[in-house]
Amino acid sequence: MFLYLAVFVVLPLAAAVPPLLREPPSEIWAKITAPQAMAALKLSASASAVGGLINTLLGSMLAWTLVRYRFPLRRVLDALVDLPFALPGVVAGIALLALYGPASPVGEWIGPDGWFGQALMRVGLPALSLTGGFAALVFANLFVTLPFVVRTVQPVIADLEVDVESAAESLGASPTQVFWRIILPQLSPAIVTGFGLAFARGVNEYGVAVLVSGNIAFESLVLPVYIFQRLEVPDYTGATALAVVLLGMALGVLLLTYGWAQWRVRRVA
Amino acid sequence: MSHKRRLRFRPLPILVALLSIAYLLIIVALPVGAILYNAFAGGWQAFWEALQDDETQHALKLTVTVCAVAVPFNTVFGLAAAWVLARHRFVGRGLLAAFVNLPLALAPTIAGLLVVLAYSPTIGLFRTPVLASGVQILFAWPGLVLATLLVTVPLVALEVLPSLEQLDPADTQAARTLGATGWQTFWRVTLPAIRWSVLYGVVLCTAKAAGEFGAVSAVSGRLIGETNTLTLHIERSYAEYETTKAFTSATLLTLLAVGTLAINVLLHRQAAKRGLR
Repeated sequence: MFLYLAVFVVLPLAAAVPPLLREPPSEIWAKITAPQAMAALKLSASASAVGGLINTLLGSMLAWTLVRYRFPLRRVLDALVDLPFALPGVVAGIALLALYGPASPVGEWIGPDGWFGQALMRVGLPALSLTGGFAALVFANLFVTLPFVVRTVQPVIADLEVDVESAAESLGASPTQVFWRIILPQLSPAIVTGFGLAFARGVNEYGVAVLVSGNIAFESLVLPVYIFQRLEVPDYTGATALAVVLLGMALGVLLLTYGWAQWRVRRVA
Repeated sequence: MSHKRRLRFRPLPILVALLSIAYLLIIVALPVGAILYNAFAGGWQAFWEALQDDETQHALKLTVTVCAVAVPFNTVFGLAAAWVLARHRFVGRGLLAAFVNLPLALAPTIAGLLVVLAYSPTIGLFRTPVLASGVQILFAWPGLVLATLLVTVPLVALEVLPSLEQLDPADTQAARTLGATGWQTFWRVTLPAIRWSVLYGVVLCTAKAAGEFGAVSAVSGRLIGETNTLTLHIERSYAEYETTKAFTSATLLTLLAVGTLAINVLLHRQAAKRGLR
């Protein structure tokens, strides 16, 4: 079993070392800080952060709805949450394009000629496009990372003791107070962990991003796609160096959020 | 459940429920509907013809082959890893767990890059043994399998581990004292008890292996009729405006994903029945 891990996981990881030794550190640093690489890095980080935050909010609401309320088709909707996890990125990508792309009815509404796009432009905002640009990247992120937030927060909501909420209410707490003082503090570790998972997953996404975003340098080219392009050049050292940066970013945010959540849980207990 | 009775008619909860359900429909349900709609927009006949297309057939066969190699490998490994992690305490246990989980944090593109860096006949770290063996790894099915393996390593182990941990060790001990061999105990006692999570792990692993795109596109070279897997075929067909072809293949992968969900639901229902989870 250790042999299996060694052959299929550790050997490929070890293969990342030689390309990094082949060129001097200054050269590698120059490749990481190249304008196009930095732009891709910033786009990846910001799109995943924005997407992660939206999903943290709406995903937590969805988890709450699925646990606390009873309504028809609840089980079907509950099962549907996992679909982005099981559905291949390419499939999701062409589905989003067909449904919300420029040629689709929705794409026309929100585009520069549609009523929604016109309305946005009237208040000084650019018309939306879900194919190409930042909005597309965020949208792709929303699809991919939804299950991570919901499935992290859901079990914690299910374990909340409703009696505590009732007790607070009977002692005169308003619903707002119950939410901020009782519910949110118990959920915050799970919500933060969910954001961390969503960010790490979103920043690594390739399939949906490559199809939906248009991959224009400095505008919608994210880091995984840029790494792929470096590999095709081929610039193995650059690709590997940026892969280390990407993995570091994903793992860093994961560890940071997980560590905070653990600290928080321990402090409350 | 006590909280059901407590629900009163308040505008905020209803707003939260409606907003979040609408969000789920817009983000997940409608796109899936769009796949099926586009696949069958030309009727059954067109769907069937697209399925019979040579390139589609080849891509389908290649993906099935890759899954047929990668999934059994990872299932056996996943069971072994989960067993060791659940039952044994030893030095390096944390490290083992970390390496089993690492591929989850690895971008698929990076996984593909690593396979190239390891096995490329020109620059790969292991180019000498690769050249000596005469096996073509990159731009051929072994490379596709290796990339897929790397991405899907943790899936079976992750699904099996929690249910193994919840098993009562008394059962296996009883089997052993009654004279069963370790192998018999595994097949007759342990495996039946965890069969649903094993099944889910295998199906999830299959769905992920079949749907792998980033890692596979880095190592495939996309030779049509040779190394074009189903996901690569979908992207290419879509880019060439062969929409029906793209969505027909996408439907196959969607069905696999929906099957995965169905088994997940069954698994949870079984677990709830037995008071597990």
